[in-house]
Amino acid sequence: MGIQTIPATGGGLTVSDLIGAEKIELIEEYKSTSNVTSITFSNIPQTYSKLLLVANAITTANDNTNIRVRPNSDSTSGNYQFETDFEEQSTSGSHVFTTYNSGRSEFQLNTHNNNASGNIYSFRFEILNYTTTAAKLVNWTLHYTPIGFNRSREIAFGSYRSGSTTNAVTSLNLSTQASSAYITIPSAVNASLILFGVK
Amino acid sequence: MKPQIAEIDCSTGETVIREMNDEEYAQHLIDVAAWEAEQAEKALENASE
Repeated sequence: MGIQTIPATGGGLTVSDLIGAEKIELIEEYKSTSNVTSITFSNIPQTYSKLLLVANAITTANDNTNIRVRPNSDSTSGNYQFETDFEEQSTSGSHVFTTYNSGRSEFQLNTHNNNASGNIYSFRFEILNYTTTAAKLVNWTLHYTPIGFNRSREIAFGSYRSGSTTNAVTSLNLSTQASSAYITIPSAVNASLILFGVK
Repeated sequence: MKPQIAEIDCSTGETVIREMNDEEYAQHLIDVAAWEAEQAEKALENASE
């Protein structure tokens, strides 16, 4: 078939041609300098095929602080099962870990590090078939960078399948697991927590 | 004083930052207790290794 010429106007390839027919739309973006322990998106529209939650934020938590995403404010134990892989780089070298958990009441973006002084993190969290009453499939990646030098950095990724719950997702709550930790979305550096819908 | 939380209503675009109500605070304490129990368990495992 050979190389095709793309006309300058009309009839050329579109982004949809290159990446598929998916269309990503902004649902809501949260920016604030306030220290809050949790952030909730409620009344999520049920008109998309999947949800994409993207964050660049800071937590003040110190130790082993997992980022937690809980749908529908449902804290029933055993709702979700998941597997997580970590790669941690510290002054003592590189370490790889894997965990499996079947008894959570939330999706848990695990981290393994144990650092003081807070952490900068970014993540991408995708829920497929969120409007259906079937088991939910989730994929996520997380990059965790403790504030300060000579502390371990971490990249984690994982996948989940909902266990005992099959409800459609109408709200998502983001928090940390530490007792008095804050999630801060500093607007000064254009950090944000954004919820997208994918058609 | 209870922790502050942010709530974004996707149907209106309105963001509210408020104190946790009693029910939310009770759940928060349950979550924190579970997390602290996990940390204590990990510490015991690490100590026995």
